[in-house]
Amino acid sequence: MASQTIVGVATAAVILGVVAVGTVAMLEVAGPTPDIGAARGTGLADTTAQMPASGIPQCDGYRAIPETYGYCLYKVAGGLPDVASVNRVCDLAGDWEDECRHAWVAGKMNAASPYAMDTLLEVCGDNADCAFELLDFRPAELIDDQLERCRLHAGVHADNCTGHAMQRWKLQGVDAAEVARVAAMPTAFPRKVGFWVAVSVQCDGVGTCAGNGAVQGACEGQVEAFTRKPQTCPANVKAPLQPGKTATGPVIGRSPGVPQGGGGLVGGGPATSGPSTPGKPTSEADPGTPATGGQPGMGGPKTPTPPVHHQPGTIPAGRPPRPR
Amino acid sequence: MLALGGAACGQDDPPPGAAAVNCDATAGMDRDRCLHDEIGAIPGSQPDEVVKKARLISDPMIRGAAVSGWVAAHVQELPADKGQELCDLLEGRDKSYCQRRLSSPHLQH
Repeated sequence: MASQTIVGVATAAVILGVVAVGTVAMLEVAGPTPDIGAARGTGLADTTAQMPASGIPQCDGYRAIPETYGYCLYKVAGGLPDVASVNRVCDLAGDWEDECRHAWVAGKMNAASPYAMDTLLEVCGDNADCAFELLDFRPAELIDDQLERCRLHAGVHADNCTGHAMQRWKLQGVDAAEVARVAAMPTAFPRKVGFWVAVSVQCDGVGTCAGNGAVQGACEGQVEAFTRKPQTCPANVKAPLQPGKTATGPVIGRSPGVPQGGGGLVGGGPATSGPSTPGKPTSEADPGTPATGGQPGMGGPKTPTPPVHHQPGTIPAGRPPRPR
Repeated sequence: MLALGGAACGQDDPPPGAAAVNCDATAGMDRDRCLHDEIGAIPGSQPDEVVKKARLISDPMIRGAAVSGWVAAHVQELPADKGQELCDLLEGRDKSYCQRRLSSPHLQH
């Protein structure tokens, strides 16, 4: 019995070894293995406690330097072949675990990815930024579903996620009935919902604020703000801004009720970043995350500021898959 | 007792405010590690110092960990131009991630 156990353990060890080697072979890692010999020469590697090996030669040479080891694992995470590998490798990344998981998920958000939303959310783990970006990149068709996903998964970024979802909802073009329906929905983030309902009401002349009490209050306050400063109505841009490009559509300060021209879509608004004071109307839309033009996961660089009132928080109609 | 305490903390400990280690006295990966640790101790008001020391780190992985970690810790204090200069020391997706960190309000806390 004991010998059978030993044989079993040995077999398992061999299998694990083969799997590890196979995994490493599949990794899209490049670069030289660090010169461990140099560290040994100084006594560094011999005297410092080492982290467990990841099986990734490029990183294992840094096991004596936990911070750099974690960073290295995060850097190669995008090439990990499957969820099991991600869990195994990123668990070793210490302070870089969140980034490690995010880096892998970022490469699997695109439409061609075989990974389901739930799987990717699970890999994100406690990384709210990872979940936020994923939800933003793969939004649910129904605003109701998206808002619920934001609430459940986006953690500290749930309000920003809600803002993005509402902005996207607005970009789709909504009629009065849809405005009324959404305004009546219960929400954990009435200011964000109310803001975008107000955009429809005051900036586009569609619908009214009537609805859920908190949303209605936020909407009415924001309508007043837009009335005082119509130029703060969110910008309309035809396409998401890319680094190095500027907004092509003017449309800021469009008179309330004036239909959109040229098929341009709406952008801007406090898609991200919580409004400053609860209950206080946003007189100037908050800047948002550079959701535009970024690659999933590692995001896009700050979008350049266009001539007038551009807010960098516009939602992309569709971001390209991250090159790997 | 005080002497014992001092010994326990290491007799070579520098006085407060002094550089902990002279990285020039080290070489190779040890030097890179030393610079990495020095960067970690630089306050947020001195991004130029980070750039200077980071450029002395030969190993790109150690340099990346040092710079990326420092930016993450001090993102709120960084002027945009200095942040960009630091991000430019990074490569690939980490550079993009660094830039995203600088420009995304929801990540600046």
